[in-house]
Amino acid sequence: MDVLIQILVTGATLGAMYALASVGLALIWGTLGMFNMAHGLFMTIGAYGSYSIVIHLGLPIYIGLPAGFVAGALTGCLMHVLIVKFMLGTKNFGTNIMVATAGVGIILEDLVLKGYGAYPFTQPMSVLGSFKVGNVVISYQAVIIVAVAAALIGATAVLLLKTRLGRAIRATAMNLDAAKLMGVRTERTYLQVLAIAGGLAGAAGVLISSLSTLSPQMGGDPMLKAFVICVVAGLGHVGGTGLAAVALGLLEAAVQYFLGVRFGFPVMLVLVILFLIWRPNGLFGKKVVVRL
Amino acid sequence: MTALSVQGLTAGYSNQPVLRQVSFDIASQSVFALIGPNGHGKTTLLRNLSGLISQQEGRVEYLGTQIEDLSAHRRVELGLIHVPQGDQLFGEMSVEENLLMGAYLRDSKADVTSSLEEVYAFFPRLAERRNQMANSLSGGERRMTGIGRGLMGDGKLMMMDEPSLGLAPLLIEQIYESLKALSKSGRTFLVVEENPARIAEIADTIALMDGGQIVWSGPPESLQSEEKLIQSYFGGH
Repeated sequence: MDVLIQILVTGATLGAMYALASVGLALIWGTLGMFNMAHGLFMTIGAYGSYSIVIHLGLPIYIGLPAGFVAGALTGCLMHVLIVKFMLGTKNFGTNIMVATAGVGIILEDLVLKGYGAYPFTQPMSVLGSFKVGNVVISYQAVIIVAVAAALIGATAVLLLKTRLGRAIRATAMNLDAAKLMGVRTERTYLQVLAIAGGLAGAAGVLISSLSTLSPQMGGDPMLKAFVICVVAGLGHVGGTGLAAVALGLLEAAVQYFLGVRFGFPVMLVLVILFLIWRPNGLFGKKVVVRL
Repeated sequence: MTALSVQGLTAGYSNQPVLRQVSFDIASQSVFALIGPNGHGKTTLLRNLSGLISQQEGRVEYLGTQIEDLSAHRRVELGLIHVPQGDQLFGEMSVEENLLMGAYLRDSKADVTSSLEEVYAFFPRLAERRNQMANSLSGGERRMTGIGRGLMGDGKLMMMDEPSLGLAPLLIEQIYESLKALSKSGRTFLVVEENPARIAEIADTIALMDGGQIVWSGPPESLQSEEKLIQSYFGGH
């Protein structure tokens, strides 16, 4: 029983972070048809932004999370205004934008390295203390992570499904020309999508670093996992991505428990290879969107 | 009064002109039908007028405003509505969400609600299907959703690209009955159609497009007398 609770708690914590990290990636893919290789750096910048607000500016600790969100969102906006905007609709957009965003990722990582140094910091945004369920120790931090991720993903779902902005985003993703004919300023929609996705990634970065440390490379690992999750869910399927993230978090927790911590990631990678071979469109995807 | 005036329009894709020096006027509150064989620029013309593709030359004046340099959303704002060929619905949205997208630029909730009720009264079938996903609709229902979505924009000029395309004869009749009713609603219509006989019943003016140019235009009655013309383009209707 304790084993099950332990796996559930660890899996839910991992799943919540993964979901937050990957939903934005899926949203960008689904709307713009671009794979954002800089997504991991959105997380890094969110984490460092939050750190700076609290440590360097001395603002209260609860500002840290929104600050991380804003830092990620601004990075997303900047990337749109400086790069994506000019490449949209060009030939081989899908491939070129991957290369371009990979470049952005490297530049941003170098900037973080130059600004903060390579030495890992402790994220101030952590809550001490724990409670017990049976014999299983559950930290308040884990509870907060699950709650924050659930709230942010819930808010994103409401935004996408119930608001005019969300309807415009979904319309643009489903049929670009038709969205334009409805009067949607699709380029602005793309900017909004990158802001939302960047914000979610920034918040994910704050949560992820609260369990480990901040380092310039911290976004790499969650970015890869977010990619795995997106492939398993079907690229661009936002709702499915959230579900797949929780499922893979639980799977990773179980694998870590039964096979050992270092087997968690390899099992996920094997899974993505299997999916790419036998079900390349993922669990929820219908077909791979290729937009020029 | 003139609703739309097109002068010397040349346009196409990647500098390959499909339309060559197209000029015509549409009178307010009239039905202007554009007929002609496939692949001769009718759809390109509508896509250009709604701002989906830009033109290389020419002037387009809509209700007194030069619009050729305006973006697509500005043209929608001015009430220039394009109901595209093949419906182009938002497949994973419900019928009602599709209709609401048609009113995307309208701010007054009350106005949007009353338009929604009007569309449901006009196409009662859509009211029954309001919560159904668009990609699970039948062909006729899809067409009604597409036209209804256009009506939700409360436009002054509606451009419709082959409203009868791909429908069974009975449904075509229904859609044409709807168009006939709509043509008396005070809006101006630009309808692209393949079949001259059908559109002649509701059109005030017919223009024949061939090779990216308008080669003939006039009232529908005089088209009947142009037997040679019809023979050569439509193979004896």
